[in-house]
Amino acid sequence: MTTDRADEQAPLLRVEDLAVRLPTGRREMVDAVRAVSLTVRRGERVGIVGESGSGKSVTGRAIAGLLPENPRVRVTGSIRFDGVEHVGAPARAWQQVRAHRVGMIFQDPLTFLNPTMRVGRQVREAIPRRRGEPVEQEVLRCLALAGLTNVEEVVLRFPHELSGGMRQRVLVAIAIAKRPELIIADEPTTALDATVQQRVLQTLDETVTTLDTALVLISHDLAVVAGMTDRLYVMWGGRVVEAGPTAEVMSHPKHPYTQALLRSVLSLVDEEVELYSIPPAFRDWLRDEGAAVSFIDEAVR
Amino acid sequence: MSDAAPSPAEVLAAAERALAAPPTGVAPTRPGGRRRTSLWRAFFRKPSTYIYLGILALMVLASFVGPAFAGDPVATAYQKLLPPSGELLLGTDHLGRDYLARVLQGGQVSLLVGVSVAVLCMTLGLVIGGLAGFFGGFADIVLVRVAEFFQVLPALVLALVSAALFGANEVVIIVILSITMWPAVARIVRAESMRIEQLGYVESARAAGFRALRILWSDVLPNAMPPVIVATTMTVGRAILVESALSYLGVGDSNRPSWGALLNSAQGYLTTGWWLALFPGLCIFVVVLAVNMLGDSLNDSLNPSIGKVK
Repeated sequence: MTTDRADEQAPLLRVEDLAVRLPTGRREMVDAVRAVSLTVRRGERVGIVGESGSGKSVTGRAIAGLLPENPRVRVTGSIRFDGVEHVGAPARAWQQVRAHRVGMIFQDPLTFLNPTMRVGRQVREAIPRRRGEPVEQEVLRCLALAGLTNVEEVVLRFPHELSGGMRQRVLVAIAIAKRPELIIADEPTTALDATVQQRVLQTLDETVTTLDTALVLISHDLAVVAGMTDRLYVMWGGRVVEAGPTAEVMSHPKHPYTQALLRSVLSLVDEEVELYSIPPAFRDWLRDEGAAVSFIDEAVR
Repeated sequence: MSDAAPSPAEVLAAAERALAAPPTGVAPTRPGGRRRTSLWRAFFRKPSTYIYLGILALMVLASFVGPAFAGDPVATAYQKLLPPSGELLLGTDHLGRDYLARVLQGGQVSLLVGVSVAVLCMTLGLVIGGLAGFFGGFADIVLVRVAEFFQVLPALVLALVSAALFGANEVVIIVILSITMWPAVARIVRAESMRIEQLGYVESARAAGFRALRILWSDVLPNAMPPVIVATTMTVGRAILVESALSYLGVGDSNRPSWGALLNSAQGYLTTGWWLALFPGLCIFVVVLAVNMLGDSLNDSLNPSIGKVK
């Protein structure tokens, strides 16, 4: 492999000016993502935060080529893995990307697991055939890496027989089964309660470190992203409004939206302050001109 | 094994140890046992399953093994229209043949047709309905039109024509019934596939980089099975009934009459020989009912999440 050379030349993933239009009705289209640029280097952890409808999930799906196969879905811009352009690539190329390079972890573990298939088989099917060693061992190893105990038992279970946290760990196991270079975790813990959420995040953290996998963590929850990522992209209205090292963005937010977002988190910690929510007038301002103002750390680019 | 109640401090310590333990452990949903068979076990735990299976096994055994112990179904060895008695359990027909032997033999054709047609319909329905529903678009349009074409073919007329062209044997009847009955199954599979195609685990499978046909095979079709199983068992019943109608119209091998054919020839003797219509009719009724009930029960058990979601 030309990993070293590729590392110098091109990052693992480089997205430039990505725009996605999705059909919302017979005629109407919505610009779910407009001009998003982001970079993920090998082994790096990148967070994407933003509220519902900010375009973060659509961005994540676009990176994996998982947008609906509808001729009215328009993807423009550039998505490059190791410098190879994938926008407009044939479905086959995308399928190769998903089979070998990118693993996805979704929000709701129950709906994202096949209810009629035992957990062991679901993990096994995600393991590429070319690996030489016995697949059964590999299945158990993936489940153990995802933080599950008693794995010999778990492989025989159906998804509905597991708890929410365990299901989410199974999804992690499936995502890492192919030893991907990049894991895209789209709201991986939103469906879990707070304590389980912490544990699953911790496991995800450890797994990504052990396997030296790059991670794109998509969440509406700043607290989740802050603790786990090196760099942070803040999205609003389909745009990246602020980007930079996570610590930097958290301590010195530049964009008013980021500041507002941070305030609504901090107010939860401090009992004195009332829960802050973004005032409607501010939303209107954002819609009209705020989102156009981007504060993207040039060092990031 | 101390009887003394643990002190609050001990309880607290134990609770903390439990919390400090590795986060997940398997909480068995039911104690012990091998889980490989849990789905089928639920099915085989129900007493009704054994009743239906027993009835069907009895009918199959009687039809395929029974004739060896019964009399000659074609020899006109007895008096005509003898009512059921201790010697001749089902009496004799209008030509003086042992009716028990004839009814037993009739089951061979009826059961063969019912099961073969159901299996063929299910296979065709899964393949065509699955492809149409999962891929959608042009494939869907074409396959739906094909299905509609076959659905509007009048089975009886087609069967009469085919019987004239290819001869009246079981294979012809099975083929004719299958090609007119598969669209019903295909439509169900298509609707289910369209629904499932939208679900998370299909997206999950796509995200894992599986090819479309593999997703169809291992994610979509298995999850479409519950209604398909019901439709298939209904098909067994319907095929037996339509075959009866065909026999009634005279299509079929007259040397190997099915239950339907027996019913047909009994119609002239309803007043003089009630048993001629009663027994084949009862056989059809019992088999169709048992198969449908079994399918319904199978549907409930085979869906791993029905009634078990916490």
